[in-house]
Amino acid sequence: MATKTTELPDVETETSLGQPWNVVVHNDPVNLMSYVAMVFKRVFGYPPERAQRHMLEVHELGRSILWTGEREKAELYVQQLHSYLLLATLERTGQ
Amino acid sequence: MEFFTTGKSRIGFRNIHPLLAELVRSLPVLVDPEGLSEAAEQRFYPEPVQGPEHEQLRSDWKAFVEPGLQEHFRSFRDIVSADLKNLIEKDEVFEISIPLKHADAWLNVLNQARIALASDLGFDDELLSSTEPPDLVSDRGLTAFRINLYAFMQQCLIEQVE
Repeated sequence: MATKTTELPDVETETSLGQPWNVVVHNDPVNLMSYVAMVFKRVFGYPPERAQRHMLEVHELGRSILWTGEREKAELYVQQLHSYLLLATLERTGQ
Repeated sequence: MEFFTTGKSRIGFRNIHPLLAELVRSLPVLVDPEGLSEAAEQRFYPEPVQGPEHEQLRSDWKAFVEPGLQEHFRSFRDIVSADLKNLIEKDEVFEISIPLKHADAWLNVLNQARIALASDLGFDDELLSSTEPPDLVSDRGLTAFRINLYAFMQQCLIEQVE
C-alpha cells in the first residue's frame, strides 16, 4: 500500500489563556538568503526544504509565519532570531 | 582573496589584497556600539511586537532582553577582535586563519557590519542586489563594495558550517 507524508502546520496547542501567537520574520535587504535559511534550520530545527520555503516566502512576500503557539515560547524564538539579527516580531493570531 | 580550510578545525582567508585586509581589520570598529548610528541601533535591537496595545511587552523587552542581546553581540565582537591579531602579511598579501568553532562569531559580526553600513546609508533591496560594479570614488559605492566583501566572507563561512 502506498503511503503519503503530509506536512502539518507547526501549531502548538495553546495551553495558557488567550489566543496563540505567531512568530513572524520580515524581509530586510541585508541578510543573505543562505544565512536566513541557515538560521531557520538552527532555531526551529526545520529540515532544509522547509527552511528554504520560509526563506523564499520572506523574500518574495515580505514576511513569513515561522511558528505559532504559546506566547512564552514565541518570545523565546523572537529573541533567538534577534540574536541572529533577523527582523522578527510576535503577533497574536488573527491580527 | 580565497577561502581555505586546514584539516577539520581551522578555516581562513588568504591572498587578501592589502586594501581588503584593512576592510577586514576594521570590522570591530565598524560594529563598536559607541559608534553605531541611531538607525543601526534600531536595526540591531528591533521592537518585538507592533501596535500600541503592547507597550508593556516592548518595555519589558528593552529592560530584560536587550541587555542579553548586547552581551551576545559583544562576546562575538571580542572573539573576532582577538582573531584579527592573526591577520598577517605574507608576500605582500594578507592571510588569516581562525578556529572553525569561531565561525558563528564571524558570521554574526560580519552581519552586524553589513547591517550597520546598510542602515547608515539607507540601502534597499535594489541597491544591494545591483550587479553593476560599485563606484569606488563615492561613499555609497565604497560602502556597497564593503557590504559585498563581507557577504562573500559570510557565504564562505555558511557553506563551511552547514
